[in-house]
Amino acid sequence: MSDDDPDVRRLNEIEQRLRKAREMRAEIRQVEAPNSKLGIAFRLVTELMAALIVGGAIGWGLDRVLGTGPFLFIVMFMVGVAAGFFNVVRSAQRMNRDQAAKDADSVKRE
Amino acid sequence: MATSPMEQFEIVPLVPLEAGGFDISFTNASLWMCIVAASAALFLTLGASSSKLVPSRMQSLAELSYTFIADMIRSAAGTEGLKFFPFIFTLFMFVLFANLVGLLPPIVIHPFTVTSHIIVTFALALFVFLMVIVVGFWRHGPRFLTLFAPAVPWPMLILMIPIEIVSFLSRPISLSVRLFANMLAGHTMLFVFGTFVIGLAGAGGALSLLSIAPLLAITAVSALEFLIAFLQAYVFAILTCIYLNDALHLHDHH
Repeated sequence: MSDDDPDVRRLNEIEQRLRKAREMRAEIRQVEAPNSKLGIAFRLVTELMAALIVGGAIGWGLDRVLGTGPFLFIVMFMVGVAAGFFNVVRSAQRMNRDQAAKDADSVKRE
Repeated sequence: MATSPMEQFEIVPLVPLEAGGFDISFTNASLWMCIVAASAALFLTLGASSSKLVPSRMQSLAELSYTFIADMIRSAAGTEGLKFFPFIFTLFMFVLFANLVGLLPPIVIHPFTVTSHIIVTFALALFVFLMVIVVGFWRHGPRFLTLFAPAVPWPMLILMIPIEIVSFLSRPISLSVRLFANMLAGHTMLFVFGTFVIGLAGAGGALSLLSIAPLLAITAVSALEFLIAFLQAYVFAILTCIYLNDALHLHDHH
């Protein structure tokens, strides 16, 4: 795509106009999603469990194929635990960031 | 009357079909998926049919859902993510309507919640997962694999790469289990409270009066279920956006 394509130029123009319009209606931009404490807890638990299950399953599968006893299962299970914690920390950080952005937004509006 | 809380999730073939040894019967799940898709389409068509400057209720609802998803994509995956608006909007609407339709009161027929089956949610999540991989490789080529190598001193990579791969592979599981478990648990809870009401009311005497307690609980849980129906559709859609953002913009986070 080149910049002198009339369609692209028109799209850019529209994009700029949209951005202006969006800034003017900042109060609509932040559409609030409801968030319950239970929902947050559940989200974090599934992140942990999913990684655990995937890690365990990979280890178990590799063990069956390679015939390496329970070793790969144990190793991959631990990797799964680590991945699960990573997932949880990442989701929690994301939630914190969203919350911080929301707070900053509400302070600005007041 | 249903006797087990799990009976509402049973799949019953309506039109038995078979092709190549596979059972591809048109079941109640298929029927309700069609109903979900049709009601979502109807909702948006009605909303868009008379576009006025001062919108009617239907139109503002449809417009609200549009801006809601568009803003969500923009904030989670950047303006580039808007290319995937049709997909994410469809996904959101399907999950939302599946959750909401499942909450309809069982007046003539008992509504079936398609999202309470893990195979449905897993199919949706798997589609998202595969799309993220395709988009990632299409945009970045083999460089997409650096998604698994975070910025750490190189000896740490031996440990980090398997962790990142497992973390990546766990995405469709957590995405699908979350939605499915929420729906399954909610509907089971509603059923159990419902049997409490009937059981206590039928017991006679002072116990009948006590049946007001589970009745109040079921009312509160129903309200909560509406919130969860919306929340889970939102979570499904925003996580899709976040995963898509990984594929679109390697290593930089919005």
